[in-house]
Amino acid sequence: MVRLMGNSTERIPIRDLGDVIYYKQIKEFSDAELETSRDLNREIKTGRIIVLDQNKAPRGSEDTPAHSGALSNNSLTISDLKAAMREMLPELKGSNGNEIDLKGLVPLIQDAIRSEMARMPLHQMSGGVSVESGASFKDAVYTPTVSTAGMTSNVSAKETGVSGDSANEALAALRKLNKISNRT
Amino acid sequence: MKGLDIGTCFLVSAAQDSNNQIQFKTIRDAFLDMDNESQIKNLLKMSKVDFIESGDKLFIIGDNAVTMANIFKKEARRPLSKGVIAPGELEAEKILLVLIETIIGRARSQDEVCFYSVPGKPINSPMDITYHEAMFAKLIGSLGYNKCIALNEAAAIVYSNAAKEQFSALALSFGAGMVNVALLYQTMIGMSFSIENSGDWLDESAARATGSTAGRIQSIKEKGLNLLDPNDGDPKTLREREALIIYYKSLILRVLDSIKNEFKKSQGNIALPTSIPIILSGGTSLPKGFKQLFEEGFNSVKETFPIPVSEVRCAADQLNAVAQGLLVAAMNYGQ
Repeated sequence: MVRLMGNSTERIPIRDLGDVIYYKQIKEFSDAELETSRDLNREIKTGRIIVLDQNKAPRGSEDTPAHSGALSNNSLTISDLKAAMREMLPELKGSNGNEIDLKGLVPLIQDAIRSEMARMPLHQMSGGVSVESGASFKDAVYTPTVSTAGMTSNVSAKETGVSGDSANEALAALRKLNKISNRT
Repeated sequence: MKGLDIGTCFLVSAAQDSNNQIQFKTIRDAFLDMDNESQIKNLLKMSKVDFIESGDKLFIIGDNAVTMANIFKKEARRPLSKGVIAPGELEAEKILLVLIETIIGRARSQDEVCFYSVPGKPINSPMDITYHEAMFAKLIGSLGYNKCIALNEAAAIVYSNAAKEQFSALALSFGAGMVNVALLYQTMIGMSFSIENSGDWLDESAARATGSTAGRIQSIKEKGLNLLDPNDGDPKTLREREALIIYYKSLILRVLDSIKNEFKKSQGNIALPTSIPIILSGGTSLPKGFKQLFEEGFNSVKETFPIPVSEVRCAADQLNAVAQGLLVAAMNYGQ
């Protein structure tokens, strides 16, 4: 089974599989489909489709949902898109109330997707796994207690000393760098 | 403020005193256990041998442990193996706590900061450093250091040796257990990893090849090895020196190949605007001719090396570079 992602802003038809991949859309294909499809292999070679990962568990072609919402069919037609845009952006109805200018759609689609994604909770976008940075346990992490009770020692270390000038120079340079970084 | 370099062979601490001197304290982290008998204890005291007494056992510590192990045809035990707490060494943590307290002492105040070294994730072993990092935080914390912070070992070398390059360098720490590698750009770590073959591996490999022992190979190495001329030394140990040089070359090429491969994996995250130095450090890089041998290996891959390199140089103090860098980081943090 192989997971692929569309890497071209143009829609990529995979005619010999009766499929299509859109920009940033992730799809899974079986090893057999990958082997037999000339269109798929050609698009991978040109870089218009990129391989995310590949393993030996063949499954049927299915969409990996990047987000919940209206676009859940494998084959997206223009009329589906127009219908969705009519709902989201009523001002696109055009002079006769029903036609949508396709060229004008693209930036609007991008904006619409961005604003939808901004409204979504994180776990929906990342496939059910909540991703937070800086997560930590509130309680102390358990590590075994190490006790030297009852131990006595006469251990000593070898001592050497050097001038602290180089360390002070390094410290001054570090602080200077920190100041510059904070300003920018 | 303290810096603590936790190495497979040595523990090294660095602290600045009131006279603007950096004091380094070094202790070999090897021990040998014996039965606690009064005669033995008196003998050790008279011979001024460092030891720890714990119940019915005596633990001889440091260089004396290695020497006495050779005399009694035993192996000195090590609390650390390949850069991390040795699995299965049940007394390792207690011994380490005593050794750490010997070299950094108890914290003078609650706010005193201690930076300690941790290795990078090894690329040729499934080992992870999670337990090691947590255990040392616990050990150091138990000495009163509420702020004890881990820093990558190779990154610490950049702190002490790359100030003039604005802390941008590719640092390689050739220790006993591992080679640690870190690529920093203005203190930001772009890439770091470790390879679980270094000084000990050199000794074991050369020993196997020549039918000798790792201990003997190590002593030949430490007596004086010229990596550019195997004939430089006692003619009786020529074979061992030749074997060591072969394995040194193999290690250097492996490190360079690993840097190339790992850099390719993290390439999306790193964009170096200028060339940076390669800084060599660690006890395994001490033999004569190491820098030249490394440069020879580097020149053979220079055309395809993905990182722009300005020069190859050794750290100013190869044994203490990590501890000093940790101290610099601690002093910066403390302000």
